[in-house]
Amino acid sequence: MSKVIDALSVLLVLGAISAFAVGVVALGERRDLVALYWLAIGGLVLRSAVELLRPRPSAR
Amino acid sequence: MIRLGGVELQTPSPSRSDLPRALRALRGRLSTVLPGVYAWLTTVALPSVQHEARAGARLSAFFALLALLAAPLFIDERPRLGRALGIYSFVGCSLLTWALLGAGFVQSQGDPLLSALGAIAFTLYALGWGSLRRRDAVPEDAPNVIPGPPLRPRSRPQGSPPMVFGLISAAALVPICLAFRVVDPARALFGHAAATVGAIVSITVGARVAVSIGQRERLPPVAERLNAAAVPLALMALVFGLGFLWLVVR
Repeated sequence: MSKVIDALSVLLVLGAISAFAVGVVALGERRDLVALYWLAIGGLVLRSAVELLRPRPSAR
Repeated sequence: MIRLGGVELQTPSPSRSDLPRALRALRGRLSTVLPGVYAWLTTVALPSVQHEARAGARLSAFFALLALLAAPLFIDERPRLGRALGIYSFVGCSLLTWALLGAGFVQSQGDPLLSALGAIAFTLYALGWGSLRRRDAVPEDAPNVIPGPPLRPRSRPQGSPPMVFGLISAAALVPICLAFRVVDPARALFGHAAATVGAIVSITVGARVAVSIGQRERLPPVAERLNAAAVPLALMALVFGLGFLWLVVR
C-alpha cells in the first residue's frame, strides 16, 4: 500500500506540472480565467503531494 | 569570581585559546568586509563620484561605508547592532544612494564588467554574513533546536529515486518552454513568472518525493498520510467539479 501512495505522490507532482503547462497554454490563448483556474489546480495538487509525504503533526 | 545565590563561581580566565578564536573572528570579519568594500567601491562610490551626483547621494554613500566598517566592531559584543549596521544600514544606504543618483545612474555607460564584479562582491558580502558551525559543536545542543527524530546520515539513493527526480525535473521544464509561446507582452511576463515559480516548486516537491521513496521507513503510516492529504485532495476535487460544472453550463 505504501508503494501505491508513493506512486500517487509522483503522479500528483506530474499532474501539477501538467496543470501548470495547461495554464500557461491557456494564457497564450488569452483565456485568462482558464489559465488562473489551471494554475490554482496545479498549486492544490502540489499541496496534496506535500501532505502525502509529510503529514502535519497532530495537535496534542 | 562571581557570587550567585551565595555560591561563588570561578569565571574562566583568558587563556591561549582566545588567540585562535580572535584570529578566526578576524578572518570572518575580513571575509565580510573585503567583498563589502569592493562592492561599495564599484557600485556605490564610483557612480557617486563620476556623475553629477547630488550631495545627498554622496552623503548616503559615505554613510554606507561607515556602516560597513563599523559593523565588525560591534558584531561580537552587540551582534544585533552589528547586523543592523552591516546589513540593514549598509544595504539601505547603498539603495538610497542609487535612488538619489536616479536616471543618471541607470543611464550611465559604466564598465559592465565592473558592475558584474560588484554584483558578485555583493553576493560574497551577503555570504560573509553567514556563519559556519564550529567543528566541535553539536547542532542538537542549540537552545533553539526543534525536537524531532534524529537525522539520518546521508547516503547515495539506490533504485528509482534518481529516475523519479530526473523525470520530474525534465517535466518541470515543459511549462517554462511553453511560456515562450505566449505572445502578448503582459501575459508573457505573467506566464514566465508563473511557469518559473511552478517549476521551482515542482522540483522542490519532486526532490522530497524522490528522497522519501528511498527512505520509506521514515514516513508515517499510510492512513495518516492519506488523512493528512484529505483536505487538499477534497479541495482539488471541489475545484475540478466546479470547473466541470462551469464547462457544462457554458
